[in-house]
Amino acid sequence: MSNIIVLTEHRDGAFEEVSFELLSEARRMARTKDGNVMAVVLGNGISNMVDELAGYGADRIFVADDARLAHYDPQIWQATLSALCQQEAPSLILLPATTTGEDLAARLAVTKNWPLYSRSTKIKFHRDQIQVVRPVYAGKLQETITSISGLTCLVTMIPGVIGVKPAESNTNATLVPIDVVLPIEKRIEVTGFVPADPHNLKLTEVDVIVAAGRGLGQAENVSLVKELAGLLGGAVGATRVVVDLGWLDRKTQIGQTGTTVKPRLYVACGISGATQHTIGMKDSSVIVAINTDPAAAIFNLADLSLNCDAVQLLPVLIDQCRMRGKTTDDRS
Amino acid sequence: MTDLDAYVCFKPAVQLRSVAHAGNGPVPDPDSKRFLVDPGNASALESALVLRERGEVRHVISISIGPEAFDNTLAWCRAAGADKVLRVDVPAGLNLDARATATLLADTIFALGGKLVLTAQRSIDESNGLVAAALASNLKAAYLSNVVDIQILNDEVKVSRKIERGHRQLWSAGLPAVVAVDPGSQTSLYIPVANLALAKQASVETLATSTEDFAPPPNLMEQIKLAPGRIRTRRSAVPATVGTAAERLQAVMGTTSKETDKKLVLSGDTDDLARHTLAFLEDKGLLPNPRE
Amino acid sequence: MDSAGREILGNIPAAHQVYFFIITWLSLAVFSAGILVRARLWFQGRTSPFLPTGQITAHTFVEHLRVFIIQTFVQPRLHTSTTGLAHVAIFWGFFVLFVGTNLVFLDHATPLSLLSGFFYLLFSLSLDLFGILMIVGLWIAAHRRFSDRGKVDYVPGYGPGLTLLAFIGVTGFLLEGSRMSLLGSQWFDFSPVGAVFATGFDYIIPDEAEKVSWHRRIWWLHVLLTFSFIAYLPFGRLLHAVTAPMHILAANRKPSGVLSTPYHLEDIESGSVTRAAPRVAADLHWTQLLSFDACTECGRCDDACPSLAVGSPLSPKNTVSELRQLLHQGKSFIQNRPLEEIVTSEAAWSCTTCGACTHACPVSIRPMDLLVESRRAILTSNRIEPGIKKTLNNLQETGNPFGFDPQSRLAWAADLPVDIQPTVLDPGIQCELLLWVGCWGSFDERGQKVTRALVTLLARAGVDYAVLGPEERCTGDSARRLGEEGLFQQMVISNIERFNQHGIRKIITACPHCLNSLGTEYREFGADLEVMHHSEFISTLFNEGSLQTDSSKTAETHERKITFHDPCYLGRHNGIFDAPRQVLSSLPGSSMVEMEASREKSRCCGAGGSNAWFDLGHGRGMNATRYQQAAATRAEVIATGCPFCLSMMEEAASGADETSTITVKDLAELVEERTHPFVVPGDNNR
Repeated sequence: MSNIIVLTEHRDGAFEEVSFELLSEARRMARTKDGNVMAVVLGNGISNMVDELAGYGADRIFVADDARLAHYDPQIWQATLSALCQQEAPSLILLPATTTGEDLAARLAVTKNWPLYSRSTKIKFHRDQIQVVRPVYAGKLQETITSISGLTCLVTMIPGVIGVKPAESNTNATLVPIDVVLPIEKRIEVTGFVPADPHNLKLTEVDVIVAAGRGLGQAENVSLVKELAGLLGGAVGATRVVVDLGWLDRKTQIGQTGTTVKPRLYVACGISGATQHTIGMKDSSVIVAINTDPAAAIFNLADLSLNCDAVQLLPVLIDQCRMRGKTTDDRS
Repeated sequence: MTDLDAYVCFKPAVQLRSVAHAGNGPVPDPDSKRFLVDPGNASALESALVLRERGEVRHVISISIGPEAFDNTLAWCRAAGADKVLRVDVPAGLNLDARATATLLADTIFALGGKLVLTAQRSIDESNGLVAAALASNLKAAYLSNVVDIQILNDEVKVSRKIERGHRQLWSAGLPAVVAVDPGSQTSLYIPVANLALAKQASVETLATSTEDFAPPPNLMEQIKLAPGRIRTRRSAVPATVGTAAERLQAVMGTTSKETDKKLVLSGDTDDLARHTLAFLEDKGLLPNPRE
Repeated sequence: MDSAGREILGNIPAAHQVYFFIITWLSLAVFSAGILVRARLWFQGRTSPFLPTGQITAHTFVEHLRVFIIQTFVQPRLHTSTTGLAHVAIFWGFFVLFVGTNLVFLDHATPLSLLSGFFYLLFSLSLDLFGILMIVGLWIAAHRRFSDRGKVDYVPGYGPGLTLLAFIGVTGFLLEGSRMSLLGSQWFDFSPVGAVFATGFDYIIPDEAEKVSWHRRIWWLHVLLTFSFIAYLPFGRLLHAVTAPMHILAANRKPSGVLSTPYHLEDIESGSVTRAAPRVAADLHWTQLLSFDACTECGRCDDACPSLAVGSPLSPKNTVSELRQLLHQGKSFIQNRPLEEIVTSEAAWSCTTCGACTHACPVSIRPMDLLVESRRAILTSNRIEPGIKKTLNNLQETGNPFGFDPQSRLAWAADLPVDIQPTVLDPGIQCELLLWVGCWGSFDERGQKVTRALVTLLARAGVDYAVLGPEERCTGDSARRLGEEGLFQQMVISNIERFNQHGIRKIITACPHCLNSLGTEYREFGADLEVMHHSEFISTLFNEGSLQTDSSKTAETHERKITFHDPCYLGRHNGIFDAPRQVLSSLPGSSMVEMEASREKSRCCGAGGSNAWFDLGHGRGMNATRYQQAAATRAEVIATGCPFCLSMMEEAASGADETSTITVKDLAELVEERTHPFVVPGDNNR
């Protein structure tokens, strides 16, 4: 019996991309073993959005919709998920390697004495065992490990690595409401939530950075960078030259003498790619570079290289981004 | 004046600078293997030192499970300002996994009367992130993860946790508590080489264990093999091949410009480029949900 | 002429002479006590090594003496300003009068009869002239003090001493005049000033008896003023009259680029040394404590400091003067007050170690060294700026301040054609001539261009050389400038081991910081390396004819103007000014112009002292200022011979007006453009 439970994650009324990644991966694995994929959604006021999960291969969707699940409370979530595992006896539980997923996985692993593979990048069934690949030694090596115990495995996967497989609608998907299970003892009190200040995002914490370089020409054009950053949900960065010219504040400086960042997306606008700057952002997951010089050093690092004037491109990009938001809304 | 002591768990992390090629695949290059202070542990220690400065804890005690070689790491703790450093002696080569380590640590800390433990969220070598949770379970303590800010008042631990997108969650718990510190939270601690050398002059208090009684829990996982890492490294380490300098030069020349795929630089109509960009970002899941 | 001379104390009755005797010795006693009290404070400092200069050989002793004589008596650093010259006048006036007074004393107290004959006439004339010189100097000083600028700029505390000195000078002439009027003499021509006063005296007090009593009164006034001055000297600002020459004699004479070695790491590791960094003033060397008392607060260091000029909180003068005030507070403060409280960390980190302050100081104080000492102290507190921590961690972990993988140190050579590729040293292979590429030259994209230009030149000239390749590690210069002496020494020791393994004795480098470290600082650890800057080597190649310039490459019809920015570590610290200029002047189609502030006076680009690795927020200051100076020459090219200077000048250029067309190049690149290409028969892919 190879049942797989997938814990989904959502924010502000929409599922995080990683939920779809895990579901589609679970679907792919379950097919090889003729197993079931069970998605779990815990939250408050989320009942309307869960149908989407069927499109990614869930056989059953367990939903606990309760005010007590509005914010992540480790004890309540652990108790609820634990009860479900008790009931369904999965061979594998997939969670996102996010702060919530990791925290929950660790607690479950310790309480149930199940093996935990955290921050994995690949997973599959190897004969009857679960086999995962995960980076070690700060990414210098990857280890492949297999579970030999036969116990339920907990695996957390790094978001954005395996990607979302093409969605396939599952018309047999069943929605199963479940109750919140309260913990026997509570050691932790969840006392509050402090949202990030959009004007004061820490460069080391955001997923997206749009950076301004000398190639923008004048101080006024920095507003384009700010606008794009806002639309992409990210922060504004800058090169040293731009900061010295006074276009942006010193705390936005990225590079040798500024901050080192590793966002998921780095958009370099009018930045040449001198070492002093690239040292601070070369480990970004995806780099998009816009520069008028086709031989700019930044293009050696970029995943997407655009040889044009950022001042021309950014307004078009911003417009198209806005349009995208509108059309999707119209459709839904 | 509080009598709460902060225990900080330490273990040297292995850092690799390059990867060697053995017969059956890449292995950590023994020449480039360095034991260093795990940055997560360093953050935890720094958090503890800050608590001490504020008067919220009395002493900062570093504790490590391991053989004599770990004394160097503890010397680092002393140089950084820990009041006391302790090592639970276990023979070298005894491969303790996370749960076994946690058990030993918990037993020791409990025996010493410790009620507050700070540790790294995960170490940079193994990075399984299990020790802190297991330690909390063994100590019947609250487990607080991803912490960036701690405040202790009247035996209550209030923490601020870092979660995605720069938000913070606020949790609070009573003692005993295990606080796993986010590795990026403190950045200013640096121990000059000479200070470390001075700290190494002093000896480390060692606690013995009788490993006959100690039965580590069975290993639940088996490592099959290691392969060169590919995640997020843009300038990958050029493997340290054993060979002559000329061969090494060849290897470098062979892998830098010719092997790295020369990225295609796009140019053309602005609208087309913009559309291409958006499609690229969407494909990678980097565009925010339109409804946000 | 033989009869020339005078009676000493002629008019003074014996009883008064006894009082005179008592006053003399009392005053000398107070003077000595004052000096001894100060000396006790200086000797709270370290006494080992005895002199920071290391071993005293016949050669170093002569050198010390030479510098002492020049700095004390010629005072060349003071010649560039009016008040500086006024000081020289006051000094010489005082000095000659002082010697003169002692001669009088000797003449009176010993059987020696020096003051007679021609010598006496010379003596008399000199005293008159130098006396006037002193008064003129004092007059200029007073004029400056009460001028508009003086009201803002003045240093408090000099008033009493200088006023006293002025009165001594004037009463001295009055005394001379009254004596000459009393005694009459045929040698008046040799005391011209005295003669004037004598005439006046004759006129105002014609009565003989009154002349006698007035002479006595004036004598006593002069005596009291003089001996008060002597007794007061150790307690006022004029203490520098004693402490400055003492300091000049005892001061550290190592080149300004060589920082002190406070301990050897192996001694710390073995436990024989227990203090790793200075914590209090008592941990500094006694000559440094003496230097605080030698400081006159003239402010030349402040005027020279590029960091202060752009508004940083660093003032070399204030650093020294605050340390002097600490000295005044006494022994317990010297032994207990942490240095960090006196020199703020913002000030300490703002220093670029350019050495302008050291080269400006007329009394050989080295404020730069004091700032590095305070960095050493700050580092032991374990909490430092993230940028500094990142750099130090990178140095420890990867052997370069950038944090790049050392295995990729040869990446710059990847695309080079076979005939230009460098030879990489295999383990154990001996090496005649090493090209030290340096971290910037290896990893930085701009730096790699310079390296490629340089190796192209070397190939053209057929030079037999090798590089260390992936074995190369940073010299540790950045670590030492940041105050991490332990890390520096670790890197030095492992580098020296590598050099020994390959038998390396001769090195060329394009980086003056590497030049300074390897060539001078490494000596203290046992290395004996001959290190040349690439400009020196290229100059040799031109002289030998191994490299030839190619006029056909000058496409322009006009002469391109080049200006050379002297890097601090090449010029000021290591005295290499001419080689780069020789090289650049040899290039066809170019002419050189000099910036204001060039050669020893060159203004720092702002990246030194490891300031390249962290940012204190002074922004474009130093490099922009220097860039303006370069732009003012209307040069089209700024040439330099240092990676830091190149980066900073390029950054300043890009931050400046878009319409400027100044390019910044290393001189290797400029030479490469204008020399005959290397042609291998049959090889056409370039």
